[in-house]
Amino acid sequence: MKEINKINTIYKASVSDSKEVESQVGGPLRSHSEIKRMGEVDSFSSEEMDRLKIIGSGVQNSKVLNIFRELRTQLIQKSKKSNFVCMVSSICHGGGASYVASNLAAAFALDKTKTSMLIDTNLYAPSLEKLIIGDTMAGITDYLSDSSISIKDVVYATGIPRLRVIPIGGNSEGAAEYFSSEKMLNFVEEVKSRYSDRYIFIDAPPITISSEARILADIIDMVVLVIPHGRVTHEQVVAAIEIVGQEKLSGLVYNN
Amino acid sequence: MDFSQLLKYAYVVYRELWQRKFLCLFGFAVISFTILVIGMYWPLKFETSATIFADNQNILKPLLSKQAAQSDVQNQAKVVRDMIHSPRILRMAIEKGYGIDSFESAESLGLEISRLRSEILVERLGDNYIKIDYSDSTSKDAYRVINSVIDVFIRTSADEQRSESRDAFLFIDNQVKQYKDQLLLAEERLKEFRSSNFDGRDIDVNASISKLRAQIEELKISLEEDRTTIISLKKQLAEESKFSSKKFKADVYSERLVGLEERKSTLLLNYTEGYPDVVSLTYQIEDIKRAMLEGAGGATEGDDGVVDEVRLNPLYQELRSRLSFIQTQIKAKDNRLIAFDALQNQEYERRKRIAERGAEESELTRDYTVTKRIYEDMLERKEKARLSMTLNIEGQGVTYRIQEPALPPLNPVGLQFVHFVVLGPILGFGGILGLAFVFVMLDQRIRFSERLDDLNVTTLAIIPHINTPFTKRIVRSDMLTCLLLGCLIMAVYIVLAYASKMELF
Repeated sequence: MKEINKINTIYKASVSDSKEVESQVGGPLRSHSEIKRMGEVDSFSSEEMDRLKIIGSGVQNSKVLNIFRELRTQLIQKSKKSNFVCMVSSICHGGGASYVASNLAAAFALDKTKTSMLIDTNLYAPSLEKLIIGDTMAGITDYLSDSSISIKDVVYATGIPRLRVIPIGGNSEGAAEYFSSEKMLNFVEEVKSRYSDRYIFIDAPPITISSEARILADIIDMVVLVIPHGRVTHEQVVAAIEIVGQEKLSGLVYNN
Repeated sequence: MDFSQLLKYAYVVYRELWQRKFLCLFGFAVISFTILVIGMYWPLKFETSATIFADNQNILKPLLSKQAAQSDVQNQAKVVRDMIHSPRILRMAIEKGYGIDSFESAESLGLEISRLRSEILVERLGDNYIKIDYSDSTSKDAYRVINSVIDVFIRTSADEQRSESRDAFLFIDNQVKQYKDQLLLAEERLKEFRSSNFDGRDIDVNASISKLRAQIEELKISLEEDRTTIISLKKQLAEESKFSSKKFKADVYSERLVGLEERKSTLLLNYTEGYPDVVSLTYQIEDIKRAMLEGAGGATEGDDGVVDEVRLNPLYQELRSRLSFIQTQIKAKDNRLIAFDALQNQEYERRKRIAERGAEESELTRDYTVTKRIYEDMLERKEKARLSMTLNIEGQGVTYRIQEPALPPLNPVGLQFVHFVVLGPILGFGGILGLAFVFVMLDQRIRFSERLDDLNVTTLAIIPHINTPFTKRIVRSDMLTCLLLGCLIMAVYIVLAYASKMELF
């Protein structure tokens, strides 16, 4: 959290009002130039990206960059070229789902014709706020529980171009119920259908442990399971695959 | 497992170790220091050995050849080991080495004896050389104990051998006396039996029986002959009496006729037929001729005359005398037969008696023979024992001499403190490494992406372990800390080892 605050203070001066930025983002179809004109806050430097373990065109480790690009290609192929909602979940806490989700989103955002959105639903270990430059007011749980908050209020720009983040927010009690509500379904539908070039990634808690992830699995298009190195047994992986079901599971990612 | 797989394993093991680096360092320290402490208290071992020579090749051997029993060379080592390991010898050695009252309780003495027994090794070197090894915690003790053990052993073995062979001789001597008595008894019995038994032997009876039987057979055949002769003689006598009377008369007439005709023909030479003498002769001849014809025609004419004539017949006389002779002989032979039969029956009786007593006799004879054989054997042994005893008393039997005396050992053998000092960190490192390897092998958690292949789900990507400059900095500082800690541990270790070596505490 210290790091995030530090980043936030560094960039505070140069950041324009995030809500203002978001208000400019609108319309079902956007041309390349429109996307280019998306209101952006200042980008992270490559050192910042390295520290946050986020890939970018300037990062040192091009091997990882290529791996995520390859992963992006595979997912696009599986979705038959339309945009999709993808849940990234792991099998245990700290399994690297957030890392994979944010990098996947960053990889999609690298493509200048695409935008991506990260939704943090990991109530146990929310981690996406560090990507947001500036203060966060509300998150997805606030939106689901409070009808006075609109989608615009919870979408934040990040230090990565074309990548938006919806943090977890402050109202995490009864989140499982919110996620299974009609509103959540509508919300997902809306963010997906709003822009056809937008790819949505949900950073979910471990699927074998939390009920939230299982609920979310019903409303999304595909699931990527992250298998952490040396943390889970073969049986646990089999159990997780069974929970997700073969038709929604697009594949496994082994995280060293 | 090929090399690339081994490398992969090594990398995984390294990662596991790095993840638990401080625990590993702690484990390393614990193992090293434990081994160091073990090394501090590890007893030193000083080994010394002596060679003894079992001398049984003495000058008398070729002279005696097999007469005196000598111990088997092959078993010398075993004999020596058994003797040295016996509690008696060990106790004597302890008393000699440490002093009589060195062990207060019987229990501690027993423990010391069993310790010595496990430390003293006896092995055969050559034909007659036996090596005795001993190890103890100090050089002084090792030297002292082995000397006292060998000394006690040699002294005792000589004493024992002497008394042993004397005992053996006395025992055999006693046995010989017993057997002699038995032999005399058996002899006496046999003599008694023979003197009370006159029937002679089986073989004699059989010979006389067969002889008698042959004689009886012969007698019977001659009797049969005689009887046949009598029958034929009698028949001849009966026929001859009738036939011989006629023939005799005819013969007389024909003789007179021949005589008369001879005289007539002589007279006719000088006279004519009318000569009276010649006429008378002619009449006489005619008369005789008539008589002869009558005799041939009427047989039974005047029996008396016939009988007289028969009696006068010499053939008849001869036959009669032979008949009576043979009849007397038959009588005599019959009597002889009866006598032979009686004799034969007697012999049969005798044979029965001999058979009855034969079993008894053979038992007595057997008894005698066996006792005699054993006695002779014993006598021989007694002589051997006497020789052995004399040999041992003269010191010519198996004797043990110290060939190579024990030396006080200068350096300890086996594991020493310095080995432990070196082994400590090596085993600590190896142990931790081995544990980590075993952990990776046994732990069920997935550490290789290949294990996902059999899940029937595509593996989209394998993300390598990445170190950002930030984490690299952390890793670097961690490594420095580990290195420092490791150096600290080693420094403490070396100081401790050095202090222990110098016996500072």
